[in-house]
Amino acid sequence: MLLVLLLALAGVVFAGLALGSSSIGASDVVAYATGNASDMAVNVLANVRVPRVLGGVLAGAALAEAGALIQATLNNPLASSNIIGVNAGSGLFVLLFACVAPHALGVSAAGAFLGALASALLVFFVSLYAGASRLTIVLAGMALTSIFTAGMNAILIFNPDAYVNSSGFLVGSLSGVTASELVIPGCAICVGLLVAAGQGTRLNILSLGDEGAHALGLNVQRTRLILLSLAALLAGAAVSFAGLIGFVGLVVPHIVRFFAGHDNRRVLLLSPVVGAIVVCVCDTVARTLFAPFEIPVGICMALIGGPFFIYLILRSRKGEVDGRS
Amino acid sequence: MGALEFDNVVFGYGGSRLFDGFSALFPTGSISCIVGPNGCGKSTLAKLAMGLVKPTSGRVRIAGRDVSSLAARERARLLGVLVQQQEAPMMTVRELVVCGRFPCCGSFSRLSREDEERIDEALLLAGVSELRDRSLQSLSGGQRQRVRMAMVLAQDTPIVLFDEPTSFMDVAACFDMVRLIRQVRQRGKTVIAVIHDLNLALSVADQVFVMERGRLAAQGEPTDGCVRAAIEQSFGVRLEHVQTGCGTAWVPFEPRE
Repeated sequence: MLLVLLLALAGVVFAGLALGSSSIGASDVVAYATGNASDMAVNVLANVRVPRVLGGVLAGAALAEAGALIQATLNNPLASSNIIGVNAGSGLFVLLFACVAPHALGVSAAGAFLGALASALLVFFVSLYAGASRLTIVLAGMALTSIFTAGMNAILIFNPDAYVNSSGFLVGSLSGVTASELVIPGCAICVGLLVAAGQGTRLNILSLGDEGAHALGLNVQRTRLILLSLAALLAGAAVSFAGLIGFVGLVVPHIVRFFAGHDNRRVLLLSPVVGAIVVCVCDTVARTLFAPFEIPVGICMALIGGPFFIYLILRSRKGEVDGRS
Repeated sequence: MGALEFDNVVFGYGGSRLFDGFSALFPTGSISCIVGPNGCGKSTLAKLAMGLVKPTSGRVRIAGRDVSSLAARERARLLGVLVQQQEAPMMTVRELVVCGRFPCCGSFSRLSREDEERIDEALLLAGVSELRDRSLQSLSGGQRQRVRMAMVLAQDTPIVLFDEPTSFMDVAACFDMVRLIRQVRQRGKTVIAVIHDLNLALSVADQVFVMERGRLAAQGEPTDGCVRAAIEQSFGVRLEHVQTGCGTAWVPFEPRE
C-alpha cells in the first residue's frame, strides 16, 4: 500500500508542477527535470511551483503525522493540532516573534515550535489533571484556539505589517512560499517524521489504557509528553511557512485507519504520504479552479474538514467513533 | 523470599489511610487468591505491586527486589498483570497478544523467533488460537478476557497477577478461567489473583488471603478454619463447604438471625 501511495504522491506532485495560471505545462516540467527548459519555465518552476509543491508535501506530511500522533496519544479521534489549539498557539508565536525580530534567520520556525509546544503542554496538563473526557479536551482546545486567534488578530491590528500576506497565514496558504523558507522547517519535519515512524508500538501499547500500558512497562505520562512534543515540532514546523492550515491532521488519520486498519505502526507510516497527497491536491485545485485568481489551500481544507468534523462529533455522540464511546 | 511481599506498607487515598502497616508474603510457585468485600483494598494491592501507586512508607518487593528500584520494563519482565477490564482497543487478537512482548523487545526491534513462539504458546494456552485474526470488537466478554490473559501469558513473567479475571463472565467462562489459572501454575509460574467470587477463589487457591478494611484478616489454605472464620466475619455471611456427586463448592449463605 505504501508503494501505491508513493506513486500516487509522485503523480500529484507532477500535476502540481504542471498545472497553474501560467502557460508552463507538463512538457516544461519534463524539460526542467532534464535540464532543457526555457528561461521562463525555469523561472516559474524554480521560484514558484517547486517551492510551493514541496511546501505542500512537507506541510501535509507534517500536519497529518501530528494529527495521528495527537489522536493516538490522547486516545481521542476528535483531536488534531488545529482542534486542540496547537496550530493557533504556533501562529501566535510566529506573529509575536515576527514583531520582535522580523529579519532574524529561523525566527519563524523557532516561534512556531515554541508556540506549538506551549499549547501541547497546556492540553497535556488539562488531560492529566482534569481527567478530561474526549469532548472536554476538544472544547478546551477550542477555547485555547479562540484565545490565540484573538491574540493574533490583536497583533495584526496594532502592527499590520508584522507578517507579509497575514490573511493567507491566518487561513493557511502556500502562496509565496520560497525555497529558503523551507530549509529549517523542512529539516525539522524530516527528523520529526523519522522519529515518529518508530513510535507505532508505543502508541499501540498506550491504546491499552493507562493501567494496561503501565503494566507492560511503559512510562505512560513521559511517553505522552514526548509524543505530544513531537507532534508540536511537526505542526509548528508546518505552520511556520504554511500558516494555519486546518483539518489535515483530523481527516487524514481517519482515512488511513479506514483503509489500513488501526495498527499505529501502519497509521504513522501512511499518514504523512496521504497528508502530502491531500494538501497537494487541494492546493493545486485551489490555485487552478478560479485561475488567475486563487483561494488559499486552508479554505479548501476547511470546506472538506469542517463537515467531516461535524460528522465525527455526531458519530461520537452515538459512541461509534473507532467503535468506542 | 516470596514472589510478592508487602512489608509494613502504609498507603491511602487523599487524607484517609487504607493500609496502616500492611504486611503479607505471597509464596512462590503457588496460586494465591485475595478475597475481601468491596473497598477492602484488594485492587489497591495490585496497583502497589505494579508500581502504579507508591506506598507512603514500607516496601513492596517482587522476587525480593524493591518495586520502586526497578525500571518499568524490568518490573514488567518479572510481573505480568491482567488489569481490570477496560474498553477494547481497536486491534486484532494477535496484535493485542503481540503487545505482551513489549517489555522484552521494546519499541523498535522486530519480533524474534522466540517472541513468535511465546505468542503462539500464549494463544494456544489461552485457547484463542483460532481467533487470532478476529478483531477484539467482534468477541464476547469472556473471549476478550481470555485474549487479554493470552497477552499477559505472552509476557512470560515468573509471576502473574490477575485483577478480577472473572468479572463480567458467565458461569461456564468462569470455570474455563479457573482451569486456565491452574494450567498457568503448572507451567511453574506464581499466580496471584484478586477474585470477588468466593467459590471460584476457594476452589482454585492454594493459599487464600482474606482482606478486611485494609488489613490481612487471615491467610491459609482454603480449608483452614481461620480462613473460613475470617471470610464469614469480613463478608458477614455463613460459608458452607458443600460436597455432592458433581464435586465440591463453597456456598455463602445469609447469616442466621
